[in-house]
Amino acid sequence: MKLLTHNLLSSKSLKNVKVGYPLRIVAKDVKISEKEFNMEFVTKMIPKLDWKVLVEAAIQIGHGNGLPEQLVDDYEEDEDLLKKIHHILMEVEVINGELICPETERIFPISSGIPNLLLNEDEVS
Amino acid sequence: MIIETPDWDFNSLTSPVIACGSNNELLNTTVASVYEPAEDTFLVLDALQLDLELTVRNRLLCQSFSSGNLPTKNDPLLVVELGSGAGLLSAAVAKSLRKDILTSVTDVGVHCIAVDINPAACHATSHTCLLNNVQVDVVCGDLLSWMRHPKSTCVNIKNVSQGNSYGLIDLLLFNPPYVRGPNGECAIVPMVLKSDTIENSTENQLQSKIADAAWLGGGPDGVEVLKKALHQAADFLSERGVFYVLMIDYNYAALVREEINARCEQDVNNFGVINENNSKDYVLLTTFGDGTAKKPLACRRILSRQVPGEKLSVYRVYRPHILDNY
Repeated sequence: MKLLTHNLLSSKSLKNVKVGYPLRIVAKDVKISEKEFNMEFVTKMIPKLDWKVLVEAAIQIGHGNGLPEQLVDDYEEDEDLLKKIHHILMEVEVINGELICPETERIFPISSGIPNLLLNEDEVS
Repeated sequence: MIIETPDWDFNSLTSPVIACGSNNELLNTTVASVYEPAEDTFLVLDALQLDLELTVRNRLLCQSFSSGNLPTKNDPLLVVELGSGAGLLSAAVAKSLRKDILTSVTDVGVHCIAVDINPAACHATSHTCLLNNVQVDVVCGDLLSWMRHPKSTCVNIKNVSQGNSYGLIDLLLFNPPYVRGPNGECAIVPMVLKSDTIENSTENQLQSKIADAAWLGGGPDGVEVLKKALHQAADFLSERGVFYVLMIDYNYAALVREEINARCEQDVNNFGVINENNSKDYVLLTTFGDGTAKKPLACRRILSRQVPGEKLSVYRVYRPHILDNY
């Protein structure tokens, strides 16, 4: 699971959960693999992301170095920053661990890189 | 399974399911529940070969000459496949959208997510994508129920021009369970897939239930799962996004019938737009979307194939205020 995908995950389908976002990550195994840097992709992807959630997630899995809490306005010109964002979005993957619902503490396991968001019958709203 | 694109070539391939099984004993016990590529899968692939490049270039990136004063967009695309099964479609689409293959999409970049309710299918998809050397994230979940709602969280967009009420998915793909059960059985829902909720059930029964979820669409017309996906598509598709979905003839007939019934109840006088020139290839659906804010969806047939006993078609579903210009 890449953090790009994590940025989209929510536990809102759980009963009594209002927002269910973002899910907290507890990572047991993290894999780093080098990917070609596509500046255009990173620049254009940033507006589609929840920046704060991305930074929090990066810190939770121990890769938050160099990511500003607030996104600067002229990030498009800051190639170093874009490379860091590329790294955290494209090169870092959570292989094993847990996702935790912020409101109910319900745990969703991540194994072999696949988060399992399935719910039991009695959990569905 | 290694996929050659853009000319899909499956002749010399082994099944991805077998490939998984031989590498992983755990998967070997469950692969029987994963839907293997069949004629419906290949029909979707053929439809994508016909339509995908034009959709991406003209619609998603606005590069068409006929689109007049629309600015060219170069946004990265978010691609999601529902019910990915063995992972063939996800791998093929991810491969064909790489910039070295689909040359009109230079530099745009994509992020692909494959979703399946069956953990064994998730592993099979992951393995197929690995074999094909494409980047696809896999999520085990029930359709899009795991996705944050476009409205429930704010996104740091510099210029929010659309009120941000559309979703993020640019391409959505679904070869759904479309078969109606002989007695109008309900679709297999996720909770019965969890072994801890099934009492007195053998492993074999559980496996056969998971396998049934891959084809049993639910209800007298087999459209239960399809309609759930259409509701989510109405909410989660981006403004110019496209949903490719496969249906059997009686699925489509049921959608048209229910659309007519809904408009009768609402006393709407614009029956003319249900069908275009009484065409059987187009319907405007107005009942999908979450809650009160229904968002209309246009549904246009792009490819059909008659196989013994059934007629299958692939439809392009999109927001009708963005006109087709191809």
